[in-house]
Amino acid sequence: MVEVNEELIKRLERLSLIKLTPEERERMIREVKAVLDFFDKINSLDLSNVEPLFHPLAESRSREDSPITGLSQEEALLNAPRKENGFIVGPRIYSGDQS
Amino acid sequence: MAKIGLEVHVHITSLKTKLFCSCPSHYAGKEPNSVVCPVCLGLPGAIPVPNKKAIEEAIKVSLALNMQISDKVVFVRKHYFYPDMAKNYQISQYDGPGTTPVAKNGFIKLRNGKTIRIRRINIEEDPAKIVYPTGSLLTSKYVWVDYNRSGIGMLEIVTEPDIEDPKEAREFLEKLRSILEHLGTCDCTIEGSMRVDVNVSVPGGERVEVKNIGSIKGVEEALKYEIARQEALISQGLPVKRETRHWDDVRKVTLPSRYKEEETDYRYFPDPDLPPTTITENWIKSIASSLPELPDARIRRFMVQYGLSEYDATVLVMDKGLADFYEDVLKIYYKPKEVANLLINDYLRWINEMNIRPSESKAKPEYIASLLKMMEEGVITIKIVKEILSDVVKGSDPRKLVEERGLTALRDQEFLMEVIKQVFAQEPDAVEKARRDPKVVNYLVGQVMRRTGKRADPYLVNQLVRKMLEG
Ligand SMILES: [Zn+2]
Repeated sequence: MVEVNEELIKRLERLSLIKLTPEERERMIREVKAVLDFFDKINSLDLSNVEPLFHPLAESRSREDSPITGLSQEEALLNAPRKENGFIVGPRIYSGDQS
Repeated sequence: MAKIGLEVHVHITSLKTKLFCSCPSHYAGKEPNSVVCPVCLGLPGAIPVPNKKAIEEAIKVSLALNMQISDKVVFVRKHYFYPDMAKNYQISQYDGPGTTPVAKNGFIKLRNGKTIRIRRINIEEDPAKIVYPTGSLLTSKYVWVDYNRSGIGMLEIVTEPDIEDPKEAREFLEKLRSILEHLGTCDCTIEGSMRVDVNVSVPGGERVEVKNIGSIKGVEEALKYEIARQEALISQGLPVKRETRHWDDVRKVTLPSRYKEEETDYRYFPDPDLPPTTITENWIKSIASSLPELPDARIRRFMVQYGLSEYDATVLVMDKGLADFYEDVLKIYYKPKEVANLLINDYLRWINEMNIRPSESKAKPEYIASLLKMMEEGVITIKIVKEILSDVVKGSDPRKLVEERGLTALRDQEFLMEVIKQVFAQEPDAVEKARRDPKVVNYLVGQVMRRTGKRADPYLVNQLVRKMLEG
């Protein structure tokens, strides 16, 4: 079983792009442990003859390939905090060194 | 010897709508963020619904690539943070607990009989398009995001690392492209419809990934560069570290990429919004029965039906547009070998010179037919054919060109005899030698050709010169 420690929480922070305070980190360690303990309990059941269920519905709906008009540009940009020339403005991406 | 694996991403351009929403999938020339809806903008609560035709296209490609097709289509969430993916995960496929790609374990055979194994095919959505308004990827202070491309249906085709050099990579990609074009799944002439990530390592070094190369030529160039770079490091006793690089198509170099290396963890899990879609045997059968003629079969048919060599048939069929054009010319002018020779030896050269695909040429099949007909009738020589071919590729009617430029070959014997007499008068030494040495005859013919602005029929001139020498 995974050891839930500060290092793991920090890794999850990086993966989720969030920053926690030391107090929040403490709380997270407790809560993630509780969640994993719960899964451990489930794991202790003998389910060897039960098919794993990944979806409550057995079969997806699907759709014919016929277009429907969606949102206008104006509507699409309504919630964007920054926009320019019809584009949504995002942060710079490249942070690698150029050596 | 290098070890190369490819990840090829192709747009399913035959679709009219995106992968999980009914937004039109043709967005070329549209205003940014004008072909979007809550699903492809990644707005909370929007529910994706798979496009049935996209799954059919994936099955078609899987059949053509000799794959084992899964009995169900399962979609997963692949998590990462990047401005091109608003919901912070891409809907894709994965080989893991509870999930499987649409198809596994196929192959493509190369010309020399070598098999390149294909590990899997994933159906996935394309992210949004990023524009760099204040410079390049490296220098831009911020980015512009256009979600028109977000949610476009794609196939990710992943090979095993069976490729050993840049040339093989190119041949593999050309064959794959030809298969996709014969299936009608991807019109790869569309800008950005095929993008490739390569994995490459050389003996003694770690594996390096070069991401997002936009053309087959780019793949070949990037691989050449990367192999040279890695080999140079190793020969200096320096390590080749495992990393992700990026291909700069302008400067023709690879550069280290965005992440400080930590093993990427995409935290895949089955997308709860998308229950599986069953692929039945009957569905596969009905798709298989409607498959069109594929490149390997077409190459064999060209050899049997038109008497072409395997090499010529392969060159033609490796580009569907060219093979179609060839057969269109034959419908008007049925001389299979002559047409093949002209297309392969001369026509293709101009296409390559202009850096276009054969399907982008403005030449009509009638033009090629009339070029060859005019030559057969002795109206023009092969020299003239080659001379005006570049204009024909640009869309000029060869009959008009020949008329306008007065390119008709000189077959007027009286006129030619006059010229030959002049040459003989001025070159008595050469004439003497020519009587003994046949090689010198060519020199005299050349002189006649020069004086007629190369418009004379060389065969006829040759005959006349010989007659003069004997007479
Ligand atoms: Zn949409």
